[in-house]
Amino acid sequence: MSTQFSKEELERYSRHLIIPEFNINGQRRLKESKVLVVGSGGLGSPLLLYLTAAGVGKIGIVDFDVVDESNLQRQVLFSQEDIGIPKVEAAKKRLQGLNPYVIFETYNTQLTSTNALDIIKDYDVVADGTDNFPTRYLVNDACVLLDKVNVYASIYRFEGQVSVFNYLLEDGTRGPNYRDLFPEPPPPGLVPSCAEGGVIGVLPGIMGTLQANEVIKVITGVGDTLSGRLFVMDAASFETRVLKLGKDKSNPLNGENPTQKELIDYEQFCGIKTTERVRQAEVKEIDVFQLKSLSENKETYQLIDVREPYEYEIANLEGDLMPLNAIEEFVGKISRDRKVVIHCRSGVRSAKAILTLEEKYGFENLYNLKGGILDYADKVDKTLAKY
Amino acid sequence: MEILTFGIAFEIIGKRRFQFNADESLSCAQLKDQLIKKYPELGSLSSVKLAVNGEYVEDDFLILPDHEVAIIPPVSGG
Repeated sequence: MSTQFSKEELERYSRHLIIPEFNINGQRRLKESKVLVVGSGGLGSPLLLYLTAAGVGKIGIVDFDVVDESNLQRQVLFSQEDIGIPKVEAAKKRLQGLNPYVIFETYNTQLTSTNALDIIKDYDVVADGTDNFPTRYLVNDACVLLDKVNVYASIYRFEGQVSVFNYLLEDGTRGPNYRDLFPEPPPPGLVPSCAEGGVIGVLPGIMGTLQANEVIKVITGVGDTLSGRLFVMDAASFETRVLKLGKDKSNPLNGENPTQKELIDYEQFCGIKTTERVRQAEVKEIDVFQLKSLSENKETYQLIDVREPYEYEIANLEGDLMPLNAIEEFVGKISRDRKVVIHCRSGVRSAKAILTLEEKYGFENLYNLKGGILDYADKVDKTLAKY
Repeated sequence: MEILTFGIAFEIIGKRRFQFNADESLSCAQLKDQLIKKYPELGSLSSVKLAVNGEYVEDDFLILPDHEVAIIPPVSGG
């Protein structure tokens, strides 16, 4: 027997039911479908809200994070009172209130090579709203290995990308996937995340909503999906393009000579465990408590802040401002005869600065502030704004 | 040819779109080499495929003077 709707459901979905090409059959396909949303952040928020409102039968939500105040600028799924609560829990509560006819399953965990196949196998479509390259390759590979469609979106500052990967084509083959578009991850540290590079709040709203629309099209068969095409947009200049994308013969998953038949170590693949990280770990460090006692004991030391002036304005430790990209211009102002503590937001840029100063200019008195001003705000001075 | 940049390519080059005047038609691989000479930081993006006139193409594709070339590196935010 085909899926039935109650009177209340028919009334709730009536604006769908009267679209000629959508009608009750499209609504039935939605109700019969299971969608997994990986990441309930900027993209996940509109995705989950619209998929829930639209009446997808079952929605899985994967996220290991808790709601943070800095999420609320764009993650419209959450409210002030959700701060500190696991995202999946806050999301389920809000979404169940929006549509009682949807079944939710939550996974308060990080998607990994160990659990990905097991979680994804029970769903028809996956929507990737994750925020890092290792997980993007993981979601892609798991979807290809399990023959699932992967509806993709990704954002950066004012820019977004949307596509539909591994879509089942009429001839029975699968459309291009993430590895056809980006065969290799960028070198680690080159492309900043939203936390590092920032993002305009409405951008994930735009991209996640387009992503939700593609999920609905994939499920119902209405319209033409973005399979084989990449939508790219810069919201600042309003440049948009839809680019045709083909399959890459050398795709290791399903190219002409597939070499990869299972999930791999994606942190390693994306070079997170690289020599650069190891080198950065070799710089001398002090922690935030040691910095505090330095200043309390009136020891002579120099504090240098290698962030940008606009970050200094948000919060600072009254260090000497010498932005990383111009650090070499300040070499003459860096002390050589006392202890020098260098800090940034979280400790990555300051480690880079120290490596440059040690290798090119022979400094031996530089100490990296472990965890940066964020850690200082957490543990020493709670009046400082975290960003 | 006109070059359109996105993501980290935009940040490295500093221009969203610009004219790149080549003496003759270039393959994608040759264009990448010339751009990397001018902007060495692009070297770390050498595996990024180029889209010419709205379509992703291989490295041996020949770009003509009236083509638009888009450089779209991956972004990871969500």
